[in-house]
Amino acid sequence: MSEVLYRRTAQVFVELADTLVAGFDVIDFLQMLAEHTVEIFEVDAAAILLADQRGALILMAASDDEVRLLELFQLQEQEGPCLDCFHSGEPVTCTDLSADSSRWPLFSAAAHEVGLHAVHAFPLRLRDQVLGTLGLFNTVPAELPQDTISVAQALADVATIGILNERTLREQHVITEQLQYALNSPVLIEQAKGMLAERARIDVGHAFTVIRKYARDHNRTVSSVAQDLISNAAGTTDLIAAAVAHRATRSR
Amino acid sequence: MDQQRTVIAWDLINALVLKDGKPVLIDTVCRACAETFGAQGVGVALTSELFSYEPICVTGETGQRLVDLQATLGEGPGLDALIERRPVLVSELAGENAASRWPIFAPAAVDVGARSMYVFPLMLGAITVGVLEISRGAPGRLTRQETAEALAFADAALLIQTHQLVARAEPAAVELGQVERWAEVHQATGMLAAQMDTDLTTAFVRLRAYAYAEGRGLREVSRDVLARILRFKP
Repeated sequence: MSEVLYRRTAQVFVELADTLVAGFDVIDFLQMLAEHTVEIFEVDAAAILLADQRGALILMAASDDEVRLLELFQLQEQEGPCLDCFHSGEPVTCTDLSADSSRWPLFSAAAHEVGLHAVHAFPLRLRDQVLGTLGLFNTVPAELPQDTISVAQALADVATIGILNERTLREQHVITEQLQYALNSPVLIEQAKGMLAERARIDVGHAFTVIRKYARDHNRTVSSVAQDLISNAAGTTDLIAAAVAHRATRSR
Repeated sequence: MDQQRTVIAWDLINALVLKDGKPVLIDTVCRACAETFGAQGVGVALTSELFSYEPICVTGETGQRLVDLQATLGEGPGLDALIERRPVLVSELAGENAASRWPIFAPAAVDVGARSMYVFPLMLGAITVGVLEISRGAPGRLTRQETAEALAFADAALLIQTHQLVARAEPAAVELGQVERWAEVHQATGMLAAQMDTDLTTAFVRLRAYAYAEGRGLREVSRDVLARILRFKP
């Protein structure tokens, strides 16, 4: 493994281990993992999808909150490398989407639109089960070096541990309980995004940026800020003010 | 494969609706669910600002006793599922784990003939309506397939209950269908709630009712809301 990759990876594992202890929030954890994945592997985007046990893949976190990118990631509920990876339980790689567009016609076209040309999907595994996938995306056709592949799979395994957040996982029941809990979190955040977007008259993509920045500035989890927004808790007025200010800077 | 589960659950519910010649009720879901699981009891309890756990529908003698016990004692898997916002799946009510978690409820539940209990919250993000409880006379775990089925029934119960809370009318089974989990739908629900100055449940039902009345997809309508082409009045 290259020295640089080794150092970056070690750092990320330390940081992730920290997160797993105090005030753990599954969405913040996966968000951090997605962002770090982009830094470590020098890819252009990363997304984590989780199967909802009803058969659908749900987008849990992405390195980028650009709306069209999120749509591309979520499109994989229908077709795409992450869906194939989820079904096979094996990594799925496509180094040049445009050279092989017949494999996933819808996905390849949408990826082309946002300028992504290579994709590598790794399964979130738990013994014989696949819970979801970690997807890496590149703007230029690219292969991943072998050492990167091993580390990426290790990170995908860490994501699994984070989602399930249990030391002992002998019980299928515990897995279901944890998974369903995790899967409800992004729904709540989407609802909060919509509420803020309406109140501050911004679009939902920007609403998420504002919520995330507010959570970071106030050392809070995104989920708790979203919950406050929904229940109209005291203190959300400054969040709405921040969103309005965000709109003002963008329209200038 | 699992997506088929949702369809099977709704097929069963629709078959019962046809047989009864009545609109789809939460009771229909309980019965369809009890049939599928060979359950001793299936119950639905609602949660609201006034009552944290209010049983509204139940099948079987054991099922009835289980919801009564929880409502009276103020403890049990149903209440925990609401607090923890996740399923609570108990494979052995006579075991040590259950006894230490629910010291009064667990032995009482065994006394009325239940050995396992699987509770699924009726929940969609911040929308929390209640719980669906399935109990059996034998200990054991749900298989993955059974889990998918139970989730499908919980979805059905969520849709019927949200609809009744808001529209105060019995919906037709056909207009309910499955819960679509697209991000746009949740975002649009949030936008509409702020627009109409109402809660998320009401906004969600209004959005679904609009899509149904217009004969359009929920996702498509949601996109119009997000693009601010479509607005709802309070």
